[in-house]
Amino acid sequence: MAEPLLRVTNLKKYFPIRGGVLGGVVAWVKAVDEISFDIFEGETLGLVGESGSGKTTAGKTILQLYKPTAGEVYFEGRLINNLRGEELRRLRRDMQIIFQDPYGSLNPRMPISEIIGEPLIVHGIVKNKKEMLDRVVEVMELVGLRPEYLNRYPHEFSGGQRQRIGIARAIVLNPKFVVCDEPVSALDVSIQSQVINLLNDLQEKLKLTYLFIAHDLAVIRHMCDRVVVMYLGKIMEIAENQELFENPLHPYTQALLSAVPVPDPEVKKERIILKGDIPSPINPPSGCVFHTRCPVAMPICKEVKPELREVKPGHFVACHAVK
Amino acid sequence: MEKDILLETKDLTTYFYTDDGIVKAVEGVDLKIRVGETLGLVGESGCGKSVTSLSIMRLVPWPPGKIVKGEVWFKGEDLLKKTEEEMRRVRGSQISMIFQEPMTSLNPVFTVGFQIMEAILVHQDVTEEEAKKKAIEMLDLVGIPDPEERFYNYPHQMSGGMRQRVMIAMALSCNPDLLISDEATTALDVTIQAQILELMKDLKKKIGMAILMITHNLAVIAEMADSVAVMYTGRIVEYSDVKTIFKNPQHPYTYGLLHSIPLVTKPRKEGERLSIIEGVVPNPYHMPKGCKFHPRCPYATKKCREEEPPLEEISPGHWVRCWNYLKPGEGV
Amino acid sequence: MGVSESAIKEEKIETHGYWYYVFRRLKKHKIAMISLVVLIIIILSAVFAPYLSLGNDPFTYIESVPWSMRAELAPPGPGHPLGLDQMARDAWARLLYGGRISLAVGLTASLLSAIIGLILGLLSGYLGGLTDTLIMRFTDMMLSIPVLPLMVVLNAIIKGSVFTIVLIITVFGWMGVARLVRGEVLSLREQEFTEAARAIGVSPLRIMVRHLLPNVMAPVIVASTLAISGNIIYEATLSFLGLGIRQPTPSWGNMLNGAQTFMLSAPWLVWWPGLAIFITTLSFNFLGDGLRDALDPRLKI
Repeated sequence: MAEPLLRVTNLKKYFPIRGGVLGGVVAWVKAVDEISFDIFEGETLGLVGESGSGKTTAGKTILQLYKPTAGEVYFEGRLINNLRGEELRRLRRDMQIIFQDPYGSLNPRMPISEIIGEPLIVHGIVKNKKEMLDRVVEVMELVGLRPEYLNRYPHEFSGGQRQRIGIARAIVLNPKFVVCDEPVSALDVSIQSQVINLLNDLQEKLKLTYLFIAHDLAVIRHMCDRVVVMYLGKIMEIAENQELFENPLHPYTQALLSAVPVPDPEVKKERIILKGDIPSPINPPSGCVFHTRCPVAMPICKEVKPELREVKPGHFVACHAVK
Repeated sequence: MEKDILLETKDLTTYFYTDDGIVKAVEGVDLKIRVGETLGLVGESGCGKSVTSLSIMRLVPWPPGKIVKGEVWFKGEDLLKKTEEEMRRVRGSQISMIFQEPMTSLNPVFTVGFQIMEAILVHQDVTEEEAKKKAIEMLDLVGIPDPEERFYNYPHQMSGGMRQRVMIAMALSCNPDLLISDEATTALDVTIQAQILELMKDLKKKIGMAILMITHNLAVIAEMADSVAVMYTGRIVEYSDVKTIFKNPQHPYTYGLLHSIPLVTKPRKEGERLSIIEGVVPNPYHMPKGCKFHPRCPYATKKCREEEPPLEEISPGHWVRCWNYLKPGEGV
Repeated sequence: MGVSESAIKEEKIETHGYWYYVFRRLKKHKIAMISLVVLIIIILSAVFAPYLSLGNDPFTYIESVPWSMRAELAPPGPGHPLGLDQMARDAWARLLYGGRISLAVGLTASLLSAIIGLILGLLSGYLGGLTDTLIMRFTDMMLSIPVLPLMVVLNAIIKGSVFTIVLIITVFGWMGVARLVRGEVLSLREQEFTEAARAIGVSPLRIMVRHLLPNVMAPVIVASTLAISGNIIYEATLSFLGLGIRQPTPSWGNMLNGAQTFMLSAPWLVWWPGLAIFITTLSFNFLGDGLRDALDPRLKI
C-alpha cells in the first residue's frame, strides 16, 4: 500500500469557553475528539456528518487554520503541526481550501483579478502584474469564467459564479490537496451539478486530492471514493463508497441513510427515526457518544468508548454491537 | 369524487417596484389546494415561490412589493378583498405559516409556552388557563418530551429541531385549515428533518389539514406532496400530481432538474458526470423575450424565443407551459 | 458539454462598481445633496478668499470710512459688505479668511484623527490579545482626560497657533474612530474571506491593509465627516474662550470672542461668524447622515 498523502492521527480540537469573573476556561467545546484516517493521493475522501459532528472543524484543523489541541497531521510524510511562519506559508502552496459560503468567502472590496491573483503575489510566484494576470486568466478559463470579468467585483456575480471564483483561488497555486468545505450546499440545485462536474474535471486535469466535506449524502455518494462518517467529533465508520452505502454497519450510518428523502414518490421508506436531538459537543455523552440516540444501545455503550476497528478489509466501525 | 377546493389562486401577480426596475416576482399563478391535500411548490431561489405564499397571506411588504392583480379564494372568499383587520383573523387561525429559521421567528425573550398561548388567546375566546392547557397539549402533540416543563423553556434553550416543533405547535394551535411551510426543514439536519417530516405526515393524518409545502428539495416533495407545481421566474411551468411529475415530466426544466440531482441510491460509476442545466436563472431586471427558460433549454426553437407559451392542460390533470413539451426519450 | 460552454451561456449582466451605487443612493438624499452644494460653495469661498474679499485683507486697519463717524465698528457700506470690526478691519475679509482657518482645522484634525484611529483600531481589532488590551486601555485613558481644563493650563505656556490647535484636537479626537474601527474589524475577522486570506498564507499586515481596511472605510468616512463639524465647533469654542487661535489671525471662533462686547452696538459682527459656523456644521452633519445611508455595506445583489 502506498504511503498516504495525508495522515491524521488522534487529532483533537477543543475550543475553550471562557466565563467567570477572571475569564478563565469553564468548559470545552469538543469539536473534534480524536480522529484518525489517511488520505491517499488522487482520491476523494468524503467527510460526512450533521451539525456538531466536527467535520468542518476537522478540515480546517488539518489545514492548520486552527491549531490542533492534540494529535498529529502528516503531509507527504512530514509532521506539519508545529510549522510556523515561512515554513507554514510554503505549505499553503500545497494545501488549499474551498469554502461553503460563496458570499462571505470573497472580499467584497477586491476585484476578482486580485482575489484569484493574491496567492501568486503572496508566494512570490510571479514577477510582475502581467504574469499574474496571465495566470489568473488561465485559471479563470479552467473554471469556466470569462476573462472579461477580470475587473469585476464579487457582488456582480451569481452564487454559482462566485463559487467558481473561490475554486479558482484555491487552485491557482497548483496545490496537491484541497479541502472542499461543503462547496455546493449553498448553491441552487441546478447550479450544484455544474459545480460538482467542475470539481471532478479539475481533479482529473490537475491531479488533485480532495477532502470533501458535506452533509448531503447523495453528493457524497457521487463524489467520493471512500467515506468517513462523523458524529459529535468522533468517527463512527469509514468504508469505501459502495460498501458504505450498500452495507452500512454502524447504527448511526444506517439511520442517516434511512433518513435521506429520495426523489421518488413511489418509494415507501422504512425509516429508522432516531429519538431526541443531537447532544451538545460541550457535554458529549459518556462512553459511545451515540448511545443516547442509538436504537441498539447496550449497557456497555454507556461505559466504554468503542474503538475504531477494521471489521472487514477497508471497512472500519466504532461500535460495540458490530462484530 | 373530487374533494373540496380549500384554496385557489387565480392569476395571482405580484410585482416589486425597485430603483433598478420592476421585478415581476409572481406572474399569473393559478394554484389549487384541496382539503387535506399537500401541494408542493418547488423551484430554485428567485423563482417566486416564497413571494407566492406571502401574497396569499397578504404579507408582501409595500414598498416595494404589491399584488397587482389576481384573486385568492379561500373557503369561498377572496382574501385580496379583505381588510387588514379581517386578514389578521385569518392568519394564524385559518392559515398558518412556518418558516426556515425558527430562531428568528420565535421571540427570544418569552417562553415558548407563552408564545403558543398568545397565539391561542389572540384567535380564540378562552381563558388563560384553558389556553395554557391547550398549549401544553400542542407541545405534546408535536412530540416534545416533558411538555409541562418545556412550556417554560426559552427558545435559546432548545435545539433547532425542537424550535421547529414549537413553531409547528404554534401554527397548529388554532386548528388551521391550511399550513404553509416555507422551507421549514431546509436548515435542519437530515435526521432531524426526517423527524419533522414524519411529524407533519402524522399530523396531517390526525388533523386533516392541507399543506402548502414550499421547498427547493425535490426529494422532500416526492415524499410529502400529493400534487406539485414547479415554478420558474415567477411562473408555473408544470403542474400535476406527484407521480406524474416525477415519472413523466414534460417541461424541460422539470426534466433537467430531476436528472441533474445526484441520488443517494445510485451507485457511483467511475468518471460519470452529472447531467446539467446550462446557464443560470435570468436576471430579474432583464428577462428574456418569449419563453423565460429558452436560453437554457436544449430544445428551444424560434417560436420559444419569441412567444411565451401559456400553461396548457396536455392531459387530464397535467399542465405544462412549453411549446415543445417532451415525451420521455424524445429529443427535438 | 464542456465546462466553459456552460459559462458562456451565462448572460452578461450589466452592473456597475461600488461607488456608482453609493453616489446614486446619495443623490436620493435631497438634504445631503443640498448640504454638499452649500459646503462646496463655502470651501471654494475659503480657498478663493483673496479674490473674493474685494481688495481687503483681514489684517489691515482701515483709517476711516465715509459713512461712519468712527472706523471701528462701522456698519456695512460700499466696499465693506459686513462693515468693520472693533479694530477697524474689514469684517467680510475676516469672515472669508476665518473660514480658511476654521475649515482647515476641522478637516485636518478630522483626517489625522481618522488615520490614527484607523491604525490603532486595525491593530487592536485584528491582533487581539495583549495588543488589544493595551491599546484599548490607552484609549480609555485618553478619553478620561478633561481637555478644556487642560487647555486652560496649557494656554499659559503654549502659544495658540493653528498647528497647536490641530494637534490638540487630533490628540484628543482619534479615540472614537479607533473604537469604531476595532468593532468593525472584530466582526470582519470572523468572515470567511479573512479566513480564506489566512488559508492562502497572507501575512497579518497584508490582511489588515488589503482586506480589512477597505471594508472599514465606510463607517470611518461617515464618522469623520460628522467629526468635522464637531472639530469646527471645538476650535470655535477654544478660540471663543481665548484658548485657541490668537489675534490678529481670524477664525470664526475668535471673531465671536472679539464681538461679544459689542453685541448691542454692532450685532452683525456676531451674526455672521455665528451663522457661518451654524450652516457649515449643519451641512457636514446632513452630509454625514446622507453618506451613512449611501455607504451602507449591505450591498448584496
